[in-house]
Amino acid sequence: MSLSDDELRAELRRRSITAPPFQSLWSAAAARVQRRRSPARWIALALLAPAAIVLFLLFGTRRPPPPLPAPPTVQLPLEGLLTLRLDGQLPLDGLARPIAEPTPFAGFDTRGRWP
Amino acid sequence: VDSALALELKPQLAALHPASFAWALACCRDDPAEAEDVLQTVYEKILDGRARFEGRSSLKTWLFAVVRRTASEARRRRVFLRPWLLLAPTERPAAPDEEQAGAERATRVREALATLAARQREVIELVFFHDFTVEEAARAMGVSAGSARVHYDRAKHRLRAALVEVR
Repeated sequence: MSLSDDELRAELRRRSITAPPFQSLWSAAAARVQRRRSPARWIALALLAPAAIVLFLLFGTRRPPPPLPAPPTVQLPLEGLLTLRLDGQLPLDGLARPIAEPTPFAGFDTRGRWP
Repeated sequence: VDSALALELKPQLAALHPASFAWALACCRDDPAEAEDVLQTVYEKILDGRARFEGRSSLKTWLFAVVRRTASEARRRRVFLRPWLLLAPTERPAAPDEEQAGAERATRVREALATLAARQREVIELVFFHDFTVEEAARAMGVSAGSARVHYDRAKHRLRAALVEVR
């Protein structure tokens, strides 16, 4: 059995709803608006706002220090390389690792010595 | 505090108050305390000029639109502050007059309404309970008339099914 629109309407209207008194809600709303507009609120705001800005400038903009720069890459000095090639010795002081077998290239023998 | 316009509207708002509260209740998932808060906020908005009646629709349509918007703002705020409430089932306290004999039907209607989607419930409340036309309901709900009509038809269909089931 289906309900007609009127029956549906009647069913919905069976609910009884008790509203709170209008005047109490209206007065409470008016009191809140009054409080919001009161001069004391604005004076407090006028005092607090600059203080908040000063505090922000003092503490709010601090950032952690930037990370330290990475140590520079050690470049092999050209004269050191040349010295190494010419005398066939181990690397100079300050070089990270010894070069056991110098790479041969034109003009040098396999041990890196001048023929 | 009362602005001139608010003072002018006050008698009409007082006359519409029971209907406004019923609408607020519908917008707040039948929570009377929340509906009261929402309605008070609506009056605040009218008093401080945040909600201004400009005569583009009837006062009732405008007021109901403000109630609906305020209720959804309150709901968003509540969910933002207490997101866990989304997980909790919404239990509505039974109204004292509903506990009396003969209140079963009201409970049944309430339960049937609860099965509807929010928009469907709103349009059916506005049309059946508050005597709005579907077009006025659309204006109060902030949707197009076509969309409101679709919600209205679907709501009637589901409501009928739910009420006939329990008959």
